[in-house]
Amino acid sequence: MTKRRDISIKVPVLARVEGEGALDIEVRDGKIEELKLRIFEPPRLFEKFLEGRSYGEVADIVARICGICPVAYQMSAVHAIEQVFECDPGPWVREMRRLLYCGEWLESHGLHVHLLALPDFFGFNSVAEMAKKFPDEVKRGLALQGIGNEIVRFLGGRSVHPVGVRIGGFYKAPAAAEAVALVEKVRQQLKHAEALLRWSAALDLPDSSQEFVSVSTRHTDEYPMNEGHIVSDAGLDLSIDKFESHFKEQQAPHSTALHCHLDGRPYLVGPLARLNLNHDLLPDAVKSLLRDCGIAFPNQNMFHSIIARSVEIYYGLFEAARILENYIVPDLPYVDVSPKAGIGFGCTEAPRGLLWHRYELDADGRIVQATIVPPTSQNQARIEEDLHNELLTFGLEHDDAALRLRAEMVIRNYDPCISCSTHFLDLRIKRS
Amino acid sequence: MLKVIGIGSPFGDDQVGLLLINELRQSEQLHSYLSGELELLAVDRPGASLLSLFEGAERVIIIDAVVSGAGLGQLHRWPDSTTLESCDSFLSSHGFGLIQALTLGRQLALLPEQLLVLGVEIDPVATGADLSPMLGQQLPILIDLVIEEILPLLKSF
Repeated sequence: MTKRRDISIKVPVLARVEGEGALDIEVRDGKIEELKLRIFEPPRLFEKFLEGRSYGEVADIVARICGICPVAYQMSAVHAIEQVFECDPGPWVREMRRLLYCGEWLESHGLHVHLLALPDFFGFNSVAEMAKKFPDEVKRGLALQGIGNEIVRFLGGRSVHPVGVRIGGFYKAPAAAEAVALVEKVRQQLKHAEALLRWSAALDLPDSSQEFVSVSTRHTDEYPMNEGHIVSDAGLDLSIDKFESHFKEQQAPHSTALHCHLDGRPYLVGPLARLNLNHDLLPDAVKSLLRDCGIAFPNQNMFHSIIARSVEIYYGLFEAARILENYIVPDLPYVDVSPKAGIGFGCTEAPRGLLWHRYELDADGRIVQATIVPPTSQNQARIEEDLHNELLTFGLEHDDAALRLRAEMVIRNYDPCISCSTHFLDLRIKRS
Repeated sequence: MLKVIGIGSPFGDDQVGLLLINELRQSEQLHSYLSGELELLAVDRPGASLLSLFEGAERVIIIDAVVSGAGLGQLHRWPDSTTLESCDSFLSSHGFGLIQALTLGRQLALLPEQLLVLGVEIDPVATGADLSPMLGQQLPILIDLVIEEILPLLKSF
């Protein structure tokens, strides 16, 4: 009989992170006694920085929260503030915001799938190693990320921390000729996205379904990005202003990131949750490709997140092409706004999931109070729950290196925004 | 085509690569080349996207910040980027930095025919809106040194 060993895995620093985190696992007598995803990045205080700032500064300030998903922060913010100002920017702005979001999904998912997640599934330590054996696939990933950059640059002026967004719309409308050139590039990438989807669907991914609740926004007639109400597969259906009645953020002693629970329980946000709740809203051409690839939703296997991201890459290109094909230069790329006092809410779908903002403004449009609930804090409790279940299913009899790799893979399925990746710098194992 | 790519972020000494490109744009010595053989690019932490910037250029010079313990403002020079792959003195705030991008580029055969990496030794503690005063004082010298690297590459086209 195999002797049960006590295991203590401490990963003091998660490297290649866009924040700072660590993982501690303690196993005693074959049971996981303690499992903590510790985020020890100092609080960044953006909500406090916003207080006293004018409404016109908010989009550029919140864009600095994340180098990978600045558009998401901008979109949730402008929708919240426009709600206070009772401003409707009209159909052109609405479509362009959707296009901008397509660009961000392509950038973020393209990066995550190819540079961060895929090396795990082939046993490589990095994408550079993977590129030796799969150069065409890695080049394909760079191209898909690149078209996302171009779309964000088209409306945002630059691909990192874009500056084109303002309350009421955009500072500048691109020329029609730019849209014509861009749509041709987008169409060229569709075949790459289709190849990626077929390839990811054929990957030998771990078979590991778990029970969890998916949460996302839902729109009546389109795949969700900027608008919708909040739904779950457990029957929740809320307008975004009621978020705080069911979702509670709380301090966890081991983390500087707040843990958010839905009615006291962990839940999932992100691409897999979005598809679980909105696959019926995908265009017929996308649905047809999914059927052809044998991909079906809902899906409770978190390792299939890489497939979900591939689906959203294909959809993002499909949607971007549709919007660009109908592009016209408007008389003005924004509507004027009149500041007023009030409370507004914005809830949009960041690449990693639901991003909820609440702003209280005074009569001059200055921020009195801001609350920002990012997807990573919403997924943090779910990641810990997943790690606990997955490591038990995988088997604690595996050696420490195998357990560590499995834990890293689980964390990377969520593409946590504390990290561009979660390759662990160091691992200390204590046996007793 | 020669592309000179300055890499950085907007604050403190890490912006030195971006500032140098802005200064080079004003250079009279380079002015006549800017409509043809020379392109100057300032990019904020491009990660793997750096590789797409090499397109169309036979020669590339990269300018980035370095922390190695050398004297502030010292200009490091790496004409062979493979020697950088075991080096960790370049700043990277997001993990996938310059060295990782160049390593990936080499694997995928996406590097230009000629690549020169220039590293400017900075003070990593300087994080304000401007360069640290000591590095700021050395900026004119650095501009001259970079132009000395650029001109021979242009004249040999």
